[in-house]
Amino acid sequence: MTAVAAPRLPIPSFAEVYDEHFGFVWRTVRQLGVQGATIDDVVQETFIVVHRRLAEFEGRSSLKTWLYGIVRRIVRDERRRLTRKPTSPVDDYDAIAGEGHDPGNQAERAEAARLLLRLLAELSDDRREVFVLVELEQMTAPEVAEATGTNVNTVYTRLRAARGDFAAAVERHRARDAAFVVTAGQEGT
Amino acid sequence: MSELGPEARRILGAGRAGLEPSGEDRARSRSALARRLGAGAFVAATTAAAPTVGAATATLGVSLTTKLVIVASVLGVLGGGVVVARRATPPAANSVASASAPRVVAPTVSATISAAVVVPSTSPPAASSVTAKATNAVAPPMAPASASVSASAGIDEELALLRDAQAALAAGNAALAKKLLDRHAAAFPTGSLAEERKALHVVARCTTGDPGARAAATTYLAANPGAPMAARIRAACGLE
Repeated sequence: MTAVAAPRLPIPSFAEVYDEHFGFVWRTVRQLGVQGATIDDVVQETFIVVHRRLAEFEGRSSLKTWLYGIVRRIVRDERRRLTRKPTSPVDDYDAIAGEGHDPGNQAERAEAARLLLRLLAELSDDRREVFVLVELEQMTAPEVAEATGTNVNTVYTRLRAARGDFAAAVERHRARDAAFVVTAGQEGT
Repeated sequence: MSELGPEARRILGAGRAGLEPSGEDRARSRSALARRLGAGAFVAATTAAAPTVGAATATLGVSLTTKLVIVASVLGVLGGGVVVARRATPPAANSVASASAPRVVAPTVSATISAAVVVPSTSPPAASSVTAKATNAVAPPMAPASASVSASAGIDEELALLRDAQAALAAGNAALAKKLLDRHAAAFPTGSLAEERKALHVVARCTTGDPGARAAATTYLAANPGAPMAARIRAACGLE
């Protein structure tokens, strides 16, 4: 019996990919620990690669999975480059995301993002990657397995461990907060 | 599999929202990419994704079509339902400025540009200048950015601001929406999306209970009885 090939879906245009997935690429780059002005560089580099290789996209995986593969490689390259050439570890997130919006609201958003990034930074790279894709980007385990080049069992194992790590990081954060409040209260008496 | 507690979930939700790119982030990135890839990178979607566009579209020039589709897109999002768009106002320097714009009909609420249908206007533009513009607009990738790139980037920025304002309104943050609309007014006082800005501003004012909002809505509706956002304005301002 001859296997019938599934009809190939039409390849979306670059602009469609950009419009639909810019947010995903931006967030993912940040969630993987890229900071400051480098975010712009990595996001742009990602879409340069997308533009160059979109015609090669075969639709065997989801577009999101394919995109993540590109993001992952570029972030990894960028980390290697930064390892060779250390830069200031200060996250100038506010300088990038805080322009021109309601200051109060923006400050809250920035603080929430900063806290999340700080907690994610306590996870190992492998666990963080799976955690981000499942918990924050709502990808399924098979999708994550494909995007990260692992198998589904490994994804579940890493996810379980990452959830434990993240919960522990939240506990530490809460304990630090509580300690700070107690200390501040005592100082005031 | 172990589940996360409510505190961890709250941190994830709030943090994810804080990591969303702002309108400025989007506009900055898009402008930079347009410089690196050429105008064709972003124009291609319009031509490829709008197979129902009539022959008149080709002669009108892609940059104008893009703008019209963007307006339709915004109106589709903001106005809801079947929308008949007003004429888009091209930038002064654009050679297509004298062309009568076609009506754009977005048959669904979706912002998907492929849903837009361009109906030719009764007064086609002068062929020579428009054809030249179209040639620029569909330049292959890596071609140097043409004048249409800056115009496109401007619309991108306009669109990003209005989308952010719309998102803020949808999230119940009318104060932020008004600030974003004020920014649009300052940056693009006569921009292509100025009418949409005015309509959204009226909605935002009514939502925040601004004492003069209903009068402003009445004035706006009197001046723009067929505005795509008329129904929404009436609903937000209690004029139904």
